[in-house]
Amino acid sequence: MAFGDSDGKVVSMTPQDTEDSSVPLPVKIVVAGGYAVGKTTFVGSISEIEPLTTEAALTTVSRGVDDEGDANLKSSTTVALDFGRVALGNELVLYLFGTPGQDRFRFMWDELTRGAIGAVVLLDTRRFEDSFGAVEYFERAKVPFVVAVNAFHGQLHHSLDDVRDGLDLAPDIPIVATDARERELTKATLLELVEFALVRANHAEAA
Amino acid sequence: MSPSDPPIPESGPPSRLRIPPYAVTGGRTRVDVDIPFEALVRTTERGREHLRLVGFERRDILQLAESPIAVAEISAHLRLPIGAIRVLVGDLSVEGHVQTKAMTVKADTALLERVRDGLRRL
Repeated sequence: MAFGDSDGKVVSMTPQDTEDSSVPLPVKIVVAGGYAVGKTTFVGSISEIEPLTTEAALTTVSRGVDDEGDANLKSSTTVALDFGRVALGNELVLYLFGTPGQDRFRFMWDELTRGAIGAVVLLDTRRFEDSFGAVEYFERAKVPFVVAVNAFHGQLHHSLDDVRDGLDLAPDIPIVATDARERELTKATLLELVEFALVRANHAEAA
Repeated sequence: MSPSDPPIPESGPPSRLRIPPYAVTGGRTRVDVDIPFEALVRTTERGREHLRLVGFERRDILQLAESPIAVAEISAHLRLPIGAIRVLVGDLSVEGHVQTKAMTVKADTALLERVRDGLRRL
């Protein structure tokens, strides 16, 4: 029961389909990274609300939420997602969802990247391996993403080139240094992502 | 999955509920349309009229959604797993008690430019 607007991009799920322009359009950016890398700090630095937590209980058989009620379900796992929100004028509202970057949380990423503008992979250079899964997933799923190295106390433990090599990152994927506590740097990181998503979308629309 | 199927086992921290959270939805955890976590929900006139006729959790949602609020925010405020909220909102939507709004496909350049400009103005 989905009703699109004229360009088919917005779905309203009411039977009446009274698309209401007084309701802003929510857009989403995913923030992936390992434990304690600063995802919630990053989200909180720009969010207009204190980051909230939602709990998603999903199957570990990694078939996505469509299968969460599957009769073959053997076990389920719970993941806490911290998120924040910032209004972009009156017509758009941006939601930022933090998600763990390790491979075993892959089951969340199909769900979170659906309809997303893209993703920020937040990286602690002392724990590269916590983000391998997310980087590989976003590359394969063609989700626009940027790698943001969180420089704790202004210090990078590796150069950005080293990080690119370490992650075996495709040459076009942007990589930036950030500080999750600094609103302006968070904003710059998000802008980097949106610009990159624009380049991708331009290519796709030209093709 | 039919309403008679057993609820999904919970492994997370205890909720404020005395019953398993998925019992709220009668064990159903999927709807025809998967509502995105960031989908904005707003109570309709019909929802307002029927406020006293719906069950507790649904009433909570209708009250929260007096102003547009995301599915994830409802989940956080009511301390219920997002899967359960999604089902309840799906039902309320089918009944015409709420309206939901979300992106379901990739953003095109026009929308990305609006997001970029909005971010720049922050």
